[in-house]
Amino acid sequence: MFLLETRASFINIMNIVFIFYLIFLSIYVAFNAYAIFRISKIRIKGDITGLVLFIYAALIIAIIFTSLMFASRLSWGAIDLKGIF
Amino acid sequence: MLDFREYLHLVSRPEDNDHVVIFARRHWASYIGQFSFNIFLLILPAIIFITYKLLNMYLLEGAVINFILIAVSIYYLISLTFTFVSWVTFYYDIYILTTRGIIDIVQEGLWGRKISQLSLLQVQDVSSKVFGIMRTIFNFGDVIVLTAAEVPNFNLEAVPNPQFFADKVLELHNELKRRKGNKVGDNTGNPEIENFNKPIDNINKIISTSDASLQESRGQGEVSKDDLNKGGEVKL
Repeated sequence: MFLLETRASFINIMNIVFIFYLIFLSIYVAFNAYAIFRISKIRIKGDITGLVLFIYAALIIAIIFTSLMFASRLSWGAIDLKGIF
Repeated sequence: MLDFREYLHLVSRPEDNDHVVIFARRHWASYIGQFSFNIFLLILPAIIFITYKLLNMYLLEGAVINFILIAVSIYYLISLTFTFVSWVTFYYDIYILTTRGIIDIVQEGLWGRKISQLSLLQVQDVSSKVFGIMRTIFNFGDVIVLTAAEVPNFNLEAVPNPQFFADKVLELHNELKRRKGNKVGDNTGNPEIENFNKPIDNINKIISTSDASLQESRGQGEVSKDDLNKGGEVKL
């Protein structure tokens, strides 16, 4: 009985942790979208800023996509991402 | 001639008839240390993971994996942003030498920028400093522009080919001073006086001199210039 309660509370904790992670991702993406917008405004014609911004955005997308793909294979309590990935 | 209005978003109000003579960024070699640290941050999780594997530690089981996944993901995202911010800070440190002044743009992270402008007429002395193995090998260093007492000195860091930059500052300073002297002598009826506000007559000569000296230097492998065909912009 104790083990079952412990497991249930742990699943709830994981659930909350994952929600916090998703909130972090939302804030992170918003922050970087604005940062990229700002940097693209100060770029100088002919410099490599465009290429760097493209690589930066691609890496962010790759990291987030990979993380969510791995996360979909794990158990997060009530959250089930298996249907998405 | 490069149109200075292209840089209107960098500087507030460039003077009329002002032309860019040198447009330089910090030398790439000055970014090697920061870049290496960023690469180390990015491969650090892989090193830890391989160490775990080699030591046959089986802590990565069960729900711990969930935490580790989130931690690694957040770590990589923050490290990536840190790397990007350091690159922006490096890449947008810009030094512009025009026919009338020096513009020092210092980028501080994503949200900070300091733009200092100095008239060449206020220049009192210019010195260049190349100190250290890396700086000697890659030929970059600091250019210190001494100004009038009430104006803070300009310290341009990690300028490519600093001696050339310092020479060009003095050359343009002397040219501007000579023209200023002509203007002061207005009462003498000097015909050059009326042209003071026009573009410097011999700017093409100055730029072509730069071109020739750069060509010569490039032969020694010290200076690369790819953008001279833009009309006077010398990229060190």
